[in-house]
Amino acid sequence: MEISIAAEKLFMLGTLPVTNALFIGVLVSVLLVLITQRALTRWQSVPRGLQNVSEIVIDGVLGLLESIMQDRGMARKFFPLIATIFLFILLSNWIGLLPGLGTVGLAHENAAGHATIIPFLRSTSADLNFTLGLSLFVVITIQVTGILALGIGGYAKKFFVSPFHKPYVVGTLMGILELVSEFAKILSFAFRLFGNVFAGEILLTVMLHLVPYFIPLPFLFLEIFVGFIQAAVFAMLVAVFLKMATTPAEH
Amino acid sequence: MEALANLGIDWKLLLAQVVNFVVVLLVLKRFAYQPMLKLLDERTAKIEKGLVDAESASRKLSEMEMKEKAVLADARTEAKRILAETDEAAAKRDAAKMTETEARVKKLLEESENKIAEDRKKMLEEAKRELAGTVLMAVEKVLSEKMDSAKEKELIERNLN
Repeated sequence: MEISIAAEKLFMLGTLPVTNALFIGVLVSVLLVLITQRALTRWQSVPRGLQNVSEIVIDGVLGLLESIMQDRGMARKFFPLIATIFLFILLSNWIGLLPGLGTVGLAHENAAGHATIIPFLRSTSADLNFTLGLSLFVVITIQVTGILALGIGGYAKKFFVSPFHKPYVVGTLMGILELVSEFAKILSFAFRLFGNVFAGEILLTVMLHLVPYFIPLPFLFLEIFVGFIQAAVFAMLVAVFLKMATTPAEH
Repeated sequence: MEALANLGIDWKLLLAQVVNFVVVLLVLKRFAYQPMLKLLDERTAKIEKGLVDAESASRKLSEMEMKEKAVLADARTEAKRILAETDEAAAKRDAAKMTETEARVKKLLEESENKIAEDRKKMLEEAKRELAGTVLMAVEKVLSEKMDSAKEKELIERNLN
């Protein structure tokens, strides 16, 4: 049993090391596109099968966004981003739970000379490169949205508050705290998702090694649930932060 | 940087993951969400239109029913009126005919009465005249004597009256 925080390298593509997490990321992307296209080509006015699922997802996400943003136009504008985040994370979380996860891979000899395998499957969310990249992308999107909605001056007022007005120094300190929290978002987004999914994978591996039959099952269900919750939490937080970024400062 | 490397963070991989995600986002936005939202909107519009249509149809139906009732009621009163008029006209015509007939019958009766009276008078006169001639002849025969006409006449008249 070998647990690696970093995603394992499968092969090199030019100078890019292709890891199992990146491989799964691409697989998830292709799956998402295929599933949605399949749902679309069979679209009927009376929903059936896959279309029902797509409609539930779309309606659910859109309804939730509208309740968060209190604005139909804004909800529809950010719907693609939020829905893609949710679906991508959900699918990559769940793919990591497929049985045989750690058993199919490349033969490999580790530093100590033991023969191990590098599994093909590793949830994309269990790789900091993905979670950190996604959280950077999301936080930058949030800042750009805030600046576009309020203007640079209006957006800056959230963070830089004059110490000579009503809440005086408290307001200024709060502003600086807000600024720090914007950067903290990058880390909290990245490590929350990574920590949950990676911990889940370790938990399942450990359980499988301790008791191979039946006992890991409840943990498998728990991880299915956690996979959904983390995807939803990530997407909802993005929505909430987008809403907050477009709301003018109340000083 | 050492800490980042220990966590397995490699900027090339990070960039690759972000690019991958953004490509999925753009593809899904263009080829999945927009058409799906459009279809959902279309269906919502269709359902709303259907509901409005159904409501207007049912309202129209009830309006029609009301109109139908009104028309029927109108027709009924009209029919009643026409019947009443016809009855009245018929009664009037009957009455007129009756009086006419009565008048004609009365006239006919009068005429026939007059004629009978005249005839009787005529017959009486004729009978009188004939009787007078007969009596005269009989008297002449019986008497076989000639009298002067003045005396004769006087005698006859006296006898007759």
